[in-house]
Amino acid sequence: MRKGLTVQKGSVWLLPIVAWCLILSSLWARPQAAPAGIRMILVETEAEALELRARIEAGASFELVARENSVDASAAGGGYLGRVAPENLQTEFRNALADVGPGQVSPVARVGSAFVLLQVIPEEEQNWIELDTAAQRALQQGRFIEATALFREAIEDAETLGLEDYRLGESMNGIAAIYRLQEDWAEAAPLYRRSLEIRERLLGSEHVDVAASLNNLAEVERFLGNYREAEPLYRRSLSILEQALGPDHPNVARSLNNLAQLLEAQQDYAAAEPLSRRSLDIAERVLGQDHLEVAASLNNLAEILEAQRNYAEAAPLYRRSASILEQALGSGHPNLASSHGNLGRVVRAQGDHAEAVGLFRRSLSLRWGEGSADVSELLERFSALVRLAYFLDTEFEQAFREYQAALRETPVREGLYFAMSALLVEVAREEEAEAVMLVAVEAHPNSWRAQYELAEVFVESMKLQRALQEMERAVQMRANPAPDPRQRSFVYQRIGDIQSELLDFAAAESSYGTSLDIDPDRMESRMALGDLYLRNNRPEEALEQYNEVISFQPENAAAHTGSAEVNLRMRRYEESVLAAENALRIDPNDAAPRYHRARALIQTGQRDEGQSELRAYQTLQAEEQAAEDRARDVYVLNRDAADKLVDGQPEEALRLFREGIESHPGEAAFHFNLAVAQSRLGEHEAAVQTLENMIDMEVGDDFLARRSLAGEYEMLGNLDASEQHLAAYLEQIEAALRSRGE
Amino acid sequence: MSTRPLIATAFLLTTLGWGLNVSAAAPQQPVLFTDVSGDVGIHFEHENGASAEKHLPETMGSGAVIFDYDNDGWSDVFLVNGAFLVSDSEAEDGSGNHLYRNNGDGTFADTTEAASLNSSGYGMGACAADYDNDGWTDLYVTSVRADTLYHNTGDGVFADVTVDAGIASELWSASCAFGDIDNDGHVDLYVTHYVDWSPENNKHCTNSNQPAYCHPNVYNPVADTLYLNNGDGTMTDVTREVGMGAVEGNGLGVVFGDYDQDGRIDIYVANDAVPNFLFHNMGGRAFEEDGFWAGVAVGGSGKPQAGMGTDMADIDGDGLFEVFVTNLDKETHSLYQNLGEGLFSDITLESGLAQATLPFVGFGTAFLDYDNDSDLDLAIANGDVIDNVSLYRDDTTYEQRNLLLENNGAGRFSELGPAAGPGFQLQKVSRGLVVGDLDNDGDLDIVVSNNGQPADVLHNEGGNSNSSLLVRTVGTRSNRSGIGARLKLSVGDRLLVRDVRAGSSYLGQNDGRVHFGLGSARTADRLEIEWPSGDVDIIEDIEVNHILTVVEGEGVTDRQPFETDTAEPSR
Repeated sequence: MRKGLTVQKGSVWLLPIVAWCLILSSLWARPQAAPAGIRMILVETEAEALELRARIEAGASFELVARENSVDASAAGGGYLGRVAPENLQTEFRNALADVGPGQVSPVARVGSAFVLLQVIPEEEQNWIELDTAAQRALQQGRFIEATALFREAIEDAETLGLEDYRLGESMNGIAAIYRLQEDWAEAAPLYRRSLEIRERLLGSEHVDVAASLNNLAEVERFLGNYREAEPLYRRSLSILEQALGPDHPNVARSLNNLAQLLEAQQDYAAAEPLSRRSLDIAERVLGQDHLEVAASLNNLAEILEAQRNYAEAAPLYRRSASILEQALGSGHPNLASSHGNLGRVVRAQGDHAEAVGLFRRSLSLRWGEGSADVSELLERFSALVRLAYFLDTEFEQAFREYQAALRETPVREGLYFAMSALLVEVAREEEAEAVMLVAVEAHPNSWRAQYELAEVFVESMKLQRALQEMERAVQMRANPAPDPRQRSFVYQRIGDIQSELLDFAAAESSYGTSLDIDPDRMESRMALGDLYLRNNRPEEALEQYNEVISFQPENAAAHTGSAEVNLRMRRYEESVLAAENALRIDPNDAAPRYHRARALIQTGQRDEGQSELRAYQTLQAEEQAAEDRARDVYVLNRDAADKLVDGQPEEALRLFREGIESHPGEAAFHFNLAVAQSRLGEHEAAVQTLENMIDMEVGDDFLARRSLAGEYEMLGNLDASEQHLAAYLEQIEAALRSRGE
Repeated sequence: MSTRPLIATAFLLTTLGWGLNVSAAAPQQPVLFTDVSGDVGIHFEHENGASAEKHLPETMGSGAVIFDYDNDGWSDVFLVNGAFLVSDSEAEDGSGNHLYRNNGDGTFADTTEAASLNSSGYGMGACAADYDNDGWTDLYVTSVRADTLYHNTGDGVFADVTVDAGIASELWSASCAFGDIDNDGHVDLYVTHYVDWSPENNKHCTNSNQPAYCHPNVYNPVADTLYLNNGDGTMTDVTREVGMGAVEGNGLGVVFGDYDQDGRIDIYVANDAVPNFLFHNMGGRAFEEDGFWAGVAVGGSGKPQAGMGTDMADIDGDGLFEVFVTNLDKETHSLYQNLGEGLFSDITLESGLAQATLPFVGFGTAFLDYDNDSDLDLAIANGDVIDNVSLYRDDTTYEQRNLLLENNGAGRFSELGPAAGPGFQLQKVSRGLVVGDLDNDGDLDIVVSNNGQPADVLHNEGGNSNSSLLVRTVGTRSNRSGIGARLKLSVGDRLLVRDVRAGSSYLGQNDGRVHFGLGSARTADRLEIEWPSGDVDIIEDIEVNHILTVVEGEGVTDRQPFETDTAEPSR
């Protein structure tokens, strides 16, 4: 156990004050010799110092012994004091190190009332320390690309030195943290796993750092959906923390909460509930009743209760959580949106639709309204517009005018523009989506993201020249907040994609190059560059890019497929077969590598196998084509039927929509448009039936069906049912917007 | 295969009094194509019947045929017209197809009425061959509703014999081609059908909410039709019997060619948006669809493309026929190199064609030696499919320029751009593209049909500064037009291989006379003609710059020097 001074984790680059006083002497007095890295262990008794020295001599790591035993603030960094020139050391230190070579431990030296052991760090190891230190600093400052590159160098350094010790584990942990922050769980998992192994081996299986590693890995597994793998990791982490920190430590509460959430995700509410209650209890006692973490715990417990339909108990917990947040953050804070939304859900389940409507409206306004401005009217107009998306007539035009007016009058956060624009693109209303994003850019003139999203809408509507202009503007903006390097690299990639689509390959090549200069790990840019070279008959260069991607992401199926195609074109048939097989190992349902493999096999005389692969390819290709044709059919048939209605052929329209439902029962548009047509023809009861069927069948975006049902019931005079569906609509539109706008 | 070599030398004929007109080995001069349609009297304007309904046929037509219908030695031009589509039951109205007789003096006369070819249906394409071996080339016209077989009566008049011949098609037909599938001396007929569209089942489609012509896969695909010539003036639909009925596609272009050199003519079909077909002739009465196996069904990345027009030719001098297909913009067109043993490799990227063709929607196409340097170059007619494309796309236009691509002799192509002359700078909605020597001056001219616009006649100026040879084949045991005959011309160490065809490109047919560009050669060493009957004629020591007529089993029966200036169109 660590003794004496409490140190802050991760502060290795700060020279501890104690050491500073002990080491430096007349810094400016003499010319300086080459500085060397120094580690120190500071203890209170000579006996202890001698015992530690014997352990190190016997093979224990100086750094680990320092971390566990030194009472100096440098302990957290393995006793690392930084680079110091020998002449700047105090006499006692210089004497202690006089006959000590790099990597060896010094004799015990007495300094004042304390006793120290010193070690001069070998130069090659010093490099790792500096790289890892710089990487940690970059990570803390959010400079992920730089941090990744530095950690990667540090890992290489550690591996080259054959250092299978905690240094390797720490650098891997650092890079894994970057992936985790970027939600790249698949990349993070193996690194965390390796780091955990190293920590366990060197620190023992009961160390708190091991608990942290277990927790991190469990989190990654949870997000990957590997609940079975995650649960024992969480449980071990909790057990270590309980042992090491005591049962009432806040970290134990957090660990309990994590485990409870995992169990909740597995719908094991009976097991999750007591853990969540214990977590809340600890948080309330240790952190105080009004602490923000208590609000989170209340919310989490309420969710578990809600999942068990225990609304009576869940509702007050949600209310208390909201109240704490409101007190701490103010009543207009956007973080309150979820609290209101959660409470609204429970209240709705309890049958109080009127209160639920109010809570959902408040939630929507908190999340999407600029300064929590009321967005209810705007969303009403928006829903009315989307509802008519397939109908090219004056009713749609009128709905669009009203929506635009509301759009201009309501100050909203940029995310709402993105969400509405995305939903309009989904129903092939690209021009209307453009109009939304033009308002967004006007309302948020300093937002590069709004500018970027505008460009993407132009891509969707195939106005590529315009898209390019807007995308270039986005990346050059002096925005607030400015795009970080990863985002800039991504936008340059998109610029390259557009230029490539415009067949300006030289410009595209340059843009992809810029993207990679900013973020060399952006494999999408490298893939795009490979594809560009392939398309321009530069096979060797294409292959080089694909191989780079494969070395970085061995499971990138597209890169293997690219390699298969290039090799086939270069008539390197065996290499093509191999690359195609790699692609198919990762994604056996991809038609393209099957085609390349088949062709290469046929060309090399393996005709039976080639024929068999060709058949497999033809099956997949036919499936792909059928899926494409089906999507096209659905759209065309809906438009065709909608046109019939607009052209005054209502019976024909209804017949076509019904035919569509029969042939494509899972396609929401047929159901929904049938209901719209029925409603327009005054057949409200039939419309209700159609919409209820749609909800029962769980097809399509629920919010539109719910809003329509609210309207239909209102027309039929059933106001209770109308309010009930209005509440459901508001709950559902929140989910629909969040999935597109955040 | 029975071989009955017959050697006749061109020298013998020259001694009978045909004048020598040997052109000296001329340095290659720039070859320019210029539209002379107005000057030569071809005032054809295509009617597409464009409507608010966006009927799919409105954007697909039409085609053209170059053939000598009156046997005067001058190639005539037939242009197919659209109309206005109302419904299946209501009559379509339009100014009809047009036949232009070549006057032999650089002008053409509209002889449509005299020839009784003034049909007013919604036409798509056409192909021509002497289906009854009476010495006069007949005409088959495809259309949206009902195709027509016209019998050439020999007196300048065509008679509609569709019903008598047993042809009854109600499907939307696109391209057609004649070829003797069973080598029985009677040409058979292949007709592509696009989709099962009719005015009654027309769908309303949009792009970015602008009304637009539908993607073909919105409609059901249909099987094409193969008519077997019974030899008695009638034909029988044998599509199912020969094994073609089971495969349905969106057929547009078609070309016959013996790709595997087994002596039986095969059929390649360009399908729009679905895999292309290669029907391998298994013995005349049975075909196997081998497109995937051979590697010509889809693009190099394994995706089906929007096949429109097609041609087949030996572009690299190895005696094997490559296949070329035009596709949509950004897809790249596809050039498949024949590797032998029935296999092809997609060499679109390697040939330089990808870069040149990416911005264009290609339709009609032909391999042609436009500069008589002895390798086959490539012409492509372009034009987008969607008439209002500019409303929602800012990177393309409905009207596009056509392309002339120069072969460097090794199968690598580069686009000539403005160097091809003003005829290739026109921006139109081109569809059909057919080639032939309209003025018998030894170089190939081009006829381009344009959707909803006047047709272009692109006169070749300068191509004949190099030598060439035109060969007209007349079958005796084989079909009368000699369709399917393979001509192998040896010039020095080069072997030029060409087929006699009746139908290729998109909705059209080139001049049936086989053209050989010969560079600076003064003579060709040897011409070997392998007739569909299996007979072989060999002609040696051939003086260049002539039009030869070779009759199966008789050798050269006529030999005319190229025109020098009389055929130059007045401008």
